[in-house]
Amino acid sequence: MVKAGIRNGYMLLLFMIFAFVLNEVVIAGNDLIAEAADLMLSGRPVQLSGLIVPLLWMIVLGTAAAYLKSICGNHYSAMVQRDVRTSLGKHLLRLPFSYFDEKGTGSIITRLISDMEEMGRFFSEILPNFLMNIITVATATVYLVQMDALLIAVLFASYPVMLLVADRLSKKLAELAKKLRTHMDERTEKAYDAIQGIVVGRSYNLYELHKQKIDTVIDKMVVQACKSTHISSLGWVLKNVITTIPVIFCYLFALYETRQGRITVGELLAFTVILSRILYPIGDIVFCANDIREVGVSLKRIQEIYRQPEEHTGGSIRNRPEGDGAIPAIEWENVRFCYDSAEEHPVLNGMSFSVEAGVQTAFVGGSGEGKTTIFKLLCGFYEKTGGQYKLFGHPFEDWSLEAARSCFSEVSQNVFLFPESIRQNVACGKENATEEEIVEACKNANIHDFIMELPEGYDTLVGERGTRLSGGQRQRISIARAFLKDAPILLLDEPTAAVDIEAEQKIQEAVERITEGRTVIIIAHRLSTIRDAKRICVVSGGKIAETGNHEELLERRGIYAELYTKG
Amino acid sequence: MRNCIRKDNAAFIRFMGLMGERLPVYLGAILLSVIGDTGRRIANACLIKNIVAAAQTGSADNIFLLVIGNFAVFVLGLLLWRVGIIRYNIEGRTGAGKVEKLVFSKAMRLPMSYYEENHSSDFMSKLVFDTQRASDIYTSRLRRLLSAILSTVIYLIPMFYFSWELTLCLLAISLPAFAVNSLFAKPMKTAGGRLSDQSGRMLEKLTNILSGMELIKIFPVGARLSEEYDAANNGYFHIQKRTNRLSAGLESLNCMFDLTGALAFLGIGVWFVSVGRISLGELTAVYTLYGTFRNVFLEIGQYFPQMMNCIANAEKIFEFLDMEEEPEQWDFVTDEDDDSGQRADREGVMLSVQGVSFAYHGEKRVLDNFSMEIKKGTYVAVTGESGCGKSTLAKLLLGFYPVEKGSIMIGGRAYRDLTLKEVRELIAYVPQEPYLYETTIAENIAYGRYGATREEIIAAAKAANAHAFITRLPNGYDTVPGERGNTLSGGEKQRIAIARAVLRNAPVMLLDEATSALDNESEALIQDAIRRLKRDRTVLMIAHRPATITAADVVIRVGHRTFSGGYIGLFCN
Repeated sequence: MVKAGIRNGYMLLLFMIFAFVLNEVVIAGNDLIAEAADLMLSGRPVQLSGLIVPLLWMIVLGTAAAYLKSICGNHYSAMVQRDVRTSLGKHLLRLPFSYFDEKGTGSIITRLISDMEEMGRFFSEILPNFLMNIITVATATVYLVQMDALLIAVLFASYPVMLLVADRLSKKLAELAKKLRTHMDERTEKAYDAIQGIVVGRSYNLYELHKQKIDTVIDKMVVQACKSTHISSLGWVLKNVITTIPVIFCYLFALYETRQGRITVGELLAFTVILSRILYPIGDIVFCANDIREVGVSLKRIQEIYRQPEEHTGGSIRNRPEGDGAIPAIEWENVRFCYDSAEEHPVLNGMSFSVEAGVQTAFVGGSGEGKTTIFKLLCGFYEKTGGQYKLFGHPFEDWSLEAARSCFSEVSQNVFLFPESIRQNVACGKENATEEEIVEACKNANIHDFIMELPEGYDTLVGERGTRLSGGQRQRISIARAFLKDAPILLLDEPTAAVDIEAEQKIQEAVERITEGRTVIIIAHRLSTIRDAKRICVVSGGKIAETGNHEELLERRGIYAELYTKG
Repeated sequence: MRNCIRKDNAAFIRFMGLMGERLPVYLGAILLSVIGDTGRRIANACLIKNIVAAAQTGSADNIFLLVIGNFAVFVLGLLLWRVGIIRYNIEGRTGAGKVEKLVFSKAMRLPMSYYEENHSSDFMSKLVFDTQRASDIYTSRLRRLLSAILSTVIYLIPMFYFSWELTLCLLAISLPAFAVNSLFAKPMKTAGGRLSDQSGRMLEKLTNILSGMELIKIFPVGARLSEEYDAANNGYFHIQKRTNRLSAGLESLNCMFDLTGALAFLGIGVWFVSVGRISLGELTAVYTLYGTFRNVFLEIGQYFPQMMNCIANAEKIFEFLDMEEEPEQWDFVTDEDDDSGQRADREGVMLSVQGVSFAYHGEKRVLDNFSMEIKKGTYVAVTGESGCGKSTLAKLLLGFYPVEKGSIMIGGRAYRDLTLKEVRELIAYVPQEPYLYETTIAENIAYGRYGATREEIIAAAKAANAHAFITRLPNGYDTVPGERGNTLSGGEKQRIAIARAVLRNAPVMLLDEATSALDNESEALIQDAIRRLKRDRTVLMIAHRPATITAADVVIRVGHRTFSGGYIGLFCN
């Protein structure tokens, strides 16, 4: 963010130059008025005609400077905002999956949106205002110093007091702003939660309950906002009193100087006019700190995202060894993993297994035993905390992460579809996929006929009506995606869990087609679906408790046999 | 154009009306703050006038007294302003809170079809944005505009008092400036609208990136999404650039008027002073006031379009608030005679569906003349091919949609005689996708029957075979699912949803593929629990797994193609 601010700094510099020119024009105009007043007071005739030409020049110059100043200032803010948004987007894409998994994408989205708006306000309003004020005050001060240095000393004598007051108040305001923002986030999250769970909310008559919860948060927001008005309005009063007292002394002192004949009445006139011009910006500079602190909360949160380390790109291996079928696709030795850094609740506790290329391997076990975690580690979403993981014979660390992931396709229980057209959703599987390839993939996934029945076919938007796509249809779209990707290893997360018989048949067909000739890893909750798998690994206590095929495992009369007979 | 204005006015009046009886207090507070603020500035101008007059005449009599008097007025003005502004903020913020409450509670009362057809995050983010912008009317926009108008009038009084001739001249110069500012209002508003549209598009693309993260990591789709986001971002930048040119034009024109005003002031003022019409002190005072006056005068032109923009947001809010809600009770368009014969209470029938037809809006029929009858205390499995309307049947039973034809009865009472709330009290539903709220597991279960004790919650969790895994979580029942490291598997979520339904203790239990993600062992345990419940409850299980179906007393196969004209197949276990 800072980088973007500096990179586009030349625009800001131009902005400041034009702001300076504009101020100089105003001051020069003031000088003319002062001279004319002095002439007049000394009883000499004022030649208005002599003033008109310079004043006309000033108008032209001032207008041009104002235009350019505004263009440069706004352009600067637009450029910085664009750059920050672009780099933020790129950065988000490169963050490790664990970041999103832990924070929850919902809360990231709601926060990021409001924070980016605040960032926009900082660059488009607060920063240019702040600079403009500084330039106005600086040019006016230079002018006044030339006139009478003592006056300026009196004027700035009050400054330390003001700084102190502003500092105190703005700290408090920042605190309140932070609280208010937390309440706002909470309100949005609560409302989202209630809407997303509307099916449950409706059927359990939870309306009153949710309404009350949201209302409570809104009430808290109101109270918080009122509190901060108390403080900010007090700040405004103090600011005015603190700036005005020395100004009055200035006036009186200037009056005294005039009486002493050190400055002319015309100069006094110019002095008062200029002083009243900078009165506002002087106070504003200090109190800009309030705004900056308030926005600072949002800017800090954006910075925090920036500070999140990006996902490492991995090693240099980009290709898997060709033609050597003897190398197992995946080998795990004593792999350990746990989500919390304290390692209090290890999920995987020294897990070892290997998956032969071209063979179906299934993982079974009770829920919560870490079957899904195995997938997350295989794809490199999380890093193991110990042990060895080899992919096609090479340690996973040596693989380029991108290349390693290109070895996997996934068909999972919860299919995520983008709120875009079906075509775009399938095309995710392969960059620059042609229309033929997409249709081919959909045919293989047994979904083409369904898509063609839709009024808009492949252009049907999934987001709107697509919420009514059944679980099975969504799953088949995800299988089409996997067909298009054509990766050597296929991860299946209970592919037929949430669907009914007829759909199961269609999916089963599609799954059979896609698993042909591939290394397949299945997570299953139901044992009936994996009876034919060549190897079954039973997960228990973070380890592989038993391996073998269906018959072998039944004979062992171990965990698998128990699970099976209970079903 | 005129219609448009009338609509704006109507929306504005209606929006202000939301304040109710607090409106006079709110407006009074604005007035007070304006009086305080203008008073302060006028006191300042008088102060300068006194100083310059003293310098010109050379007499310093009373100058200290005058200065102290002016300063006192100045402080008084500030205090009045503070009192006004605090009251104003309290009223404004409360009003804004009221609007938010209205909007969010409305968002929870729409018909189910709305949620199915609209992406929830989509309409919610629009809603949050519109509400915030509309509330700005209360918390800033209206005050800015009103105080600009009021201050303009108030400043004119002392200016006319000091020198009406000069003030008239200055006013004449300000009028074209005002006209130009008003002319810019419309294009500025259009530009603002374009900006917010594009901003919405940009957010959509960003949301795609964030919510599709898992997919992006595995599939090569990140580059495309990133490109689309960048394109939207650049589009926004270009619109911003165009808007900037417009606002820079306005700013430079204002600067020109400012400098011209100074020129005119100099010319006329110097002439007036030289002919002795006004004193130099008065001239300075008028000029000091003119500076502020001009600002507030131009602010009218500036704030007016901003206000109009916010009113446009208020209009959108009203459109939303005026949308049809889910009624208390569906207004069925079935003719009474048709099924009056069947309305007679039949002993022991819990659920009765007679000749029901249904189609989602504008689509082909999902259920066609469907009938079924379920006795109290039976465990029924509903099965059928994909898309045959099993889930739709559940939605109709829950009253999410009105039936097109036919009638439904529960516990001997027809749906047309029951409010939807009453209907739902009688059903404990476990949806296909178990939703867990962002609150503790205990509360998630307690939603089944709010106010249930911890013991009851635990008992329900035990019945749903969830107690064991819940107690294994670091915070047990107080774990918030979805938070750091507390991700639950599909099966675990389903069991919590079942616990919720068990706690509800309703006569009918409706499960829609509720055990699909469970392993055989858990399902067996839950089947046990359901069988135990069954004694006094009717269980309707939409399922396809043989294990689930065989446990039922009765299996109903729903078919719409195989058996034309609608059919119920009944065969006993």
